[in-house]
Amino acid sequence: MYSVWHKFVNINYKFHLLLAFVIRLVLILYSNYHDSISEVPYTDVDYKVFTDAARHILNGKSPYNRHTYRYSPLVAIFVIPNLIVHRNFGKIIFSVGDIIVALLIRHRKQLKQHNKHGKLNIVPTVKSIANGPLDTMVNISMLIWLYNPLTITISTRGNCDSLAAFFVLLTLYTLQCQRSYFLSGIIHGISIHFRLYPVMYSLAFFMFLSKFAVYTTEDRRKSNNTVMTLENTSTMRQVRDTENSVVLSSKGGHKILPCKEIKERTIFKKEYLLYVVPNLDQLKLITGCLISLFSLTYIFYNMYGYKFLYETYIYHFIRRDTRHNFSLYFYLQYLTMWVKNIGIWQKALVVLPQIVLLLVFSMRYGLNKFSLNFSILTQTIVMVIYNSVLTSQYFLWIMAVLPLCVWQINMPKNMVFFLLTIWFAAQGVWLLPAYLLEFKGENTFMFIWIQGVSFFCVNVTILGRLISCFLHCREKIV
Amino acid sequence: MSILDTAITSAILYLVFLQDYCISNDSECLTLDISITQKVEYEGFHRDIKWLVEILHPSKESWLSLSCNLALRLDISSGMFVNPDEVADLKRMGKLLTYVDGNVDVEAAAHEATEHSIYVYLNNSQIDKLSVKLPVHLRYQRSQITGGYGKIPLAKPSLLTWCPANDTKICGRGLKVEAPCDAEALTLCVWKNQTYQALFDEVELFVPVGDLDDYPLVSIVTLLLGCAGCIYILSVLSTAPL
Repeated sequence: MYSVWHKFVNINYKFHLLLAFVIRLVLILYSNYHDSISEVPYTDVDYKVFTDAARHILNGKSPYNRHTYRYSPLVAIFVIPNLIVHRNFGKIIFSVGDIIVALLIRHRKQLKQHNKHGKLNIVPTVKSIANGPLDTMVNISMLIWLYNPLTITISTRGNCDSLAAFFVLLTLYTLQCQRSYFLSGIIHGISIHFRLYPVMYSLAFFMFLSKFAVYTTEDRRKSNNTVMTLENTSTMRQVRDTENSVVLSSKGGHKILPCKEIKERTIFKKEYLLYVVPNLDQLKLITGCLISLFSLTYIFYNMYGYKFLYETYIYHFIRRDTRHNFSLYFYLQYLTMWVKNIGIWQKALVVLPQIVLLLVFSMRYGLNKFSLNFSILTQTIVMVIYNSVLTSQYFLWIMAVLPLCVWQINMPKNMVFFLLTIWFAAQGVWLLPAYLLEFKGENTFMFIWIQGVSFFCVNVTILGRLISCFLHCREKIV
Repeated sequence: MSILDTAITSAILYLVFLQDYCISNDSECLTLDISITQKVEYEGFHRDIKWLVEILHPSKESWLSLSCNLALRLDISSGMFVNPDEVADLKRMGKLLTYVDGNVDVEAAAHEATEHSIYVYLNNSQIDKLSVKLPVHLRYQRSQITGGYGKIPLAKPSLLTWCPANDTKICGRGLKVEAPCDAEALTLCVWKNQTYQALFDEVELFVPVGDLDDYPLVSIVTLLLGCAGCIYILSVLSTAPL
């Protein structure tokens, strides 16, 4: 069994790309057949919305004439061939997007491999590992994206979220591999314009380019001139051998301790204010981002007016959906939706925890050269689990960045299994009261809320585990 | 009152009588005897309204020769809605010819939504016994103290007839209604509201409503949990290796 899996993983990646693309094409063909015979269409409602909006554009009108079109006009422009060439064209574009995302995931990894003697070397024992296991890791993280049922269905149903993921990954790619910061700024601007949520990553990108950003916590400590103390002097030599690494033995014993003499741990220091003074690279990033974001907004505002601003940006800020969903805040929001005298404190308490977490993750992981991807991952998870509306579609945002850091998260297999089980179980038990409410008309709001609470707890637990397993030592130092 | 007046009055009365009871041997007027059975299927937020429309008189053949059109019009109260995209799909599949009149906001809650109407055009060729299934969706209602269920009255559908051939007239003094001629709704026609035998009672649909009595518990636990999650993550971060 193992060897079959091993063989499958290590097949040439081009084969996987091809196979994944063929799977998507087959599903697109199937969707045509399914839609022609079934009342419940396979194709997403939004796909029809895109096509209708594209028709408006072709006729020289505004895509926002189509009700519930709440995207950038770019989406409608992309799918214009739906009307000219074939109605499946958009779905094929989204699937090609998927494949390019897979390539980007792969290229990110290859860079690590090429640079293994360079600064980005963070796999502690990379010298001793043959290329094999690293290759396997690269392939596995690509496969996680390619064969993920969620990503396959989302793009073949004709949802544009995979393109949003593509822009986010392209930003990360240009930022980390191409080092062309103006270009990454431009792409980041496009991705914010395309789907508002990447705006939350901006601070992390900014911090990544800061001169205060270091490669390891050790570097940070060195730069702070603090004395490193080791618990066991015999490990000192080992540590020198694998410089720039964060090594922790998994079974106690040898351990690089954080400085023993921690004088004071403060949350805020005055020096931190220096972090926000931009350097040249950061300025390039900011200008690029502002140029593309504002020029796109300006162009489309001139073309389609306020309706464009409202539907593309403002709506997503003021969106309030009372219908039941996975979110922790669903029931609270529904109860207080039309109650007038609700204090501002409630709103603040809903927003504050996620703002705090987003800021902390941007600073903590953004200021480290090789945890940028992890910073994006944790921020995405925070955004999704604290969102006031949470549906399965939002998990795609996580799925897109997860493969980038799978190899940095050293989680024991049984823990992975356990977390996955409780994650699916929490969703499963949510489904029961939701089903009773939606299809049986029973008043189960309270139970849905309780399940929402438990799902939130599961998500927070998983996030906590990810953080504590991030860059944990892979192997015990001999 | 002159004799002439009396005569006219009695003639009018006779005509009214004639129209009301639709004497079928009158060549100018066609009696229509239609019965409708209504059934609402499913219980949650998504319901199917099923109508069984039966033409008891005239016979199928003579009805078809008249080339008259039948349609059902249902006024949808603000507590529910017909999804325009969904019925458009049904139209595309040829299962249900409909036209939705009015703007439908599928996301709005009951007290913020507007009413709209739907016209269901009945298939002429199988007119003697025709079943129609219309999917409707209930809207969320404003949460209230003690929660429970909200009531949504379901109106009876109106039966409309329109005979393009001018010489055919259908008996009855139905109201004239301007409505789209067909599901394409390019032109308006004058339809006539027809009486029918309703073999069903008016119903009310029930929809679950959030309970404001839960508010103290829900708000305290939700908000505290949000903060607790944040604090937990921060504490994990403070001990994490990186």
